[in-house]
Amino acid sequence: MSGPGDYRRSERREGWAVPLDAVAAFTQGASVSVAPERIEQELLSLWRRASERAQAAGAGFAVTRACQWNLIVHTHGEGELLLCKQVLDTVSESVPSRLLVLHESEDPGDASIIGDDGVPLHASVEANFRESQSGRREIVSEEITIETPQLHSRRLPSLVRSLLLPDVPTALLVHNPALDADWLRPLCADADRFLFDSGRLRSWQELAAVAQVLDELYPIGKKQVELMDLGWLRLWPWRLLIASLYDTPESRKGLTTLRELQVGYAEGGEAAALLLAGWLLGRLRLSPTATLQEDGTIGLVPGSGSPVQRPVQLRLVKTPREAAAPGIVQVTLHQQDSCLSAKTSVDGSGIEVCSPFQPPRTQPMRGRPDAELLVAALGVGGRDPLMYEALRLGAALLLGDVMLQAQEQSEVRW
Amino acid sequence: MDRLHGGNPLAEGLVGDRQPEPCAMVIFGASGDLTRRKLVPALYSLARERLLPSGFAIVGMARRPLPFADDMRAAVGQFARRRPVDESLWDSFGGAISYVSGDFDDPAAYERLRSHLGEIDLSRGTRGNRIFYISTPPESFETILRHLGRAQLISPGERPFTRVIIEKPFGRDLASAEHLNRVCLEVLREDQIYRIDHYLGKETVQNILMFRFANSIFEPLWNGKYVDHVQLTVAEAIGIEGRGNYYDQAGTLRDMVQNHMFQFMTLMAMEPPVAFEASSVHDEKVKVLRALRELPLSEVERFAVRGQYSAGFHQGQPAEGYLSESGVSPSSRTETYVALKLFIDNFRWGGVPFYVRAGKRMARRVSEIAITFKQLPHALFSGPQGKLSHEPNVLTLRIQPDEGITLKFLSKVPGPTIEPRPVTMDFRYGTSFGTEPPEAYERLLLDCMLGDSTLFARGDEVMASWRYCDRILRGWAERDAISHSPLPSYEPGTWGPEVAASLLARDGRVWRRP
Repeated sequence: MSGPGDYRRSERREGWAVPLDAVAAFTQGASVSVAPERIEQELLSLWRRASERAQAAGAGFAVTRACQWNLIVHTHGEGELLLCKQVLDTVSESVPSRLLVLHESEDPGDASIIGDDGVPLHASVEANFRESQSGRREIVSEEITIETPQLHSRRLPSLVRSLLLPDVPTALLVHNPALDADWLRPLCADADRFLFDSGRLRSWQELAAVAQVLDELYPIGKKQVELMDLGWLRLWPWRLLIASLYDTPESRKGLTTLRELQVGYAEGGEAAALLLAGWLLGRLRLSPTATLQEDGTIGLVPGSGSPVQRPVQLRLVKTPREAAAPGIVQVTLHQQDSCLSAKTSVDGSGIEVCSPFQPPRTQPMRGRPDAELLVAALGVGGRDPLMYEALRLGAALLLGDVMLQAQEQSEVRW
Repeated sequence: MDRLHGGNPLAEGLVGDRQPEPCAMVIFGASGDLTRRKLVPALYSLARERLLPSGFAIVGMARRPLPFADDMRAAVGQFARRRPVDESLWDSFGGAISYVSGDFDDPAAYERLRSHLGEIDLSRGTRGNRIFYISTPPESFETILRHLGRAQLISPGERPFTRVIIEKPFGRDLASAEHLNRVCLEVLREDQIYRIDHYLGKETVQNILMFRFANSIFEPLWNGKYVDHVQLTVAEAIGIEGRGNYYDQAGTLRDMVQNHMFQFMTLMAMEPPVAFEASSVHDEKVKVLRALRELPLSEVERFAVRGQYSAGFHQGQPAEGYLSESGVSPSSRTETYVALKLFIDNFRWGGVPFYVRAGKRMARRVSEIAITFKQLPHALFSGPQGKLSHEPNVLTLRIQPDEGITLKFLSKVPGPTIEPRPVTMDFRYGTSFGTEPPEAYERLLLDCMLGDSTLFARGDEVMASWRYCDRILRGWAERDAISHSPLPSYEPGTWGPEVAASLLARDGRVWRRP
């Protein structure tokens, strides 16, 4: 929700100096600078005083402090921070949470962040809103932003840990996890749900690297954690419609004769294609016989419990067509006597489903904004063990045995 | 797994198995208020939440020709939970809406419907799966059910499926409910019948089970050893809102108690089911209803009191009395308020009175269950006037509005004196979750598409609840045959007639002010 009296966006975009006292700034969504060691005390005071002002006649806003999650989000660079904050403004309307935005400036030694006391941390707090049933602006949750130059990011975990609210779960969103970040490994230990976004990855190799990082961060059997990929949630309409190709008993019979799986993707859809392929492997109980060739082909063999009764060729094919996120253009399943497919419609607005066993139809496909995906990832959608299976199997297409050996054991993680 | 996914390996794990199979939903009574205000907006919300199947269609059916899709577009714009309407979503959702006009007793209309559904199967991939939602006045229920059977619109097998949702009222007494049930079972199996009670779709009602059976600290107290009594309240601020013709034939016992209140009373009082699935939950609910202590006909008025609202002021505005409302007989003895004292004769609840009240034109709208715990055996703390009496602990499950749970307990007032004061620990949906709960119909329509009847009433439940209420109706009728004195009245904006207060006063108790 944004509107008159909502300073969140404008301040961030234009760097205003908002002419308000701290409480007024807070109640209107402007950020209030606070000393890093006094964040909790300042928040307590701001909430209390905001609540008092809300009681006054004509206040025009209400105060309801709510929290379902501690949500830690890491951003790098100013552009990512702005985008992220817009997403979080929307997310906090439906999932009020204590938001902790950890922002690393692009300049590793950014001196502007270093305070008068020499501490290379800058903290600010702001309120997030929703519209109450009476149509009034209702302040529901808080957002804490901690900025630090990259060189000093090892200071973050201890500060973050002191700010986690008790008795609510903690989610950590890292768009592209990399092990060399000082803060990542310590913070992972505090997370109940780890979120990332494979939609930001631009190659098969990057996706496989993420699978390896997750293996490192959460060694099998060490810690129960829920892992979710926003990119996986973007694939949902594709998975649904590909699955619908096999809803009839007649079409399922043909699966025994499956001989080729083809996943067509557009520029930028590499990771999504590999993830979707991993899903198909997992559901059809197919295993790679080698590693993926440079031309995107690989041989697969059916394993125990597979409905397929012969070797299958997988082809990941890059097409010149453009496609909206997640970048999948077409998935085709070639069987002995039939060919079933789901493909992006010509105008890009839907997915066409073609099968000799069903009348053709086009399902409109509405792109899901990042905020909607994040809300889903914080709900039951964030607990899908198939995502991790698909990620590992996708990575196994590139890395081979390294990932496959641990695949069976990985179920204990859930 | 095979049963869940029909043997489709690719369907495993999709949306936590809450993705229904393709189907067409036919709404009988499509021109009615329920369709416009609740059903189609709920389906739109499901589409928005991506919970509708990939192949889905809505077919409206009513007597007069209608620009149904256009009307529904306006209805969604006015009543959908999330507005404004998402136009790109509407393009696909609205494209799935069609309409067939015809009289419910005209066989040709059902032939047209059958042919139309066949076309939809091809164009929208609904695969012969059907849900018929009978949202008409109750006098058409039997006609529609019989015609559906004759026109072979009901599939006998599990695939493709046919399910029929039947709106309330399911009968107006035991005999008519049994008759309607027989008609249903002539054309459908029990597992194809979905007797809807929208109260069961409310998050707060569903939360009764979660609260009881997912927490370890309350269930040990949930019995006659610790509970003194239970009060169930469904108070409406509104009157009969121009529905005099209907209401004067129904009354509060039929309209509220027999269905909604008994449903949430059973959830509150039942034993833990062996599993959270339909038949186990229904089995336990039926046991509660069967354990209700039968009222002697001669003593009905002692345990079931009634009243009518008089003229007066309601929330500061002048309000008509019930007998002056349009469509109401000036000599009507239909109750607009009812209060019951009932007992559940089983090991858990033996000796614990359940006080149930429902009424119209009451002080404000509220539905709640309040569990009052027993007093301590000994008062420990003393004040200047001697031993201090302690207010009992009360646990309140608020169904609507301001949904939540409150526990009242005593705390010491800060200071040098020993003074206890009741304080509350509150849980509020709004503050804890920050989102408004989905509409009851969203949950119930989705459950029906999924073939999950846990939140619908089973036939034996409905009959057991009618069996109890029928006795009250008979007791009142016998009384009315010998006494023509007017029913006790109560002023609008109050919590009911004096006789209701007396019902508790006899036991040394008072109604809560909810």
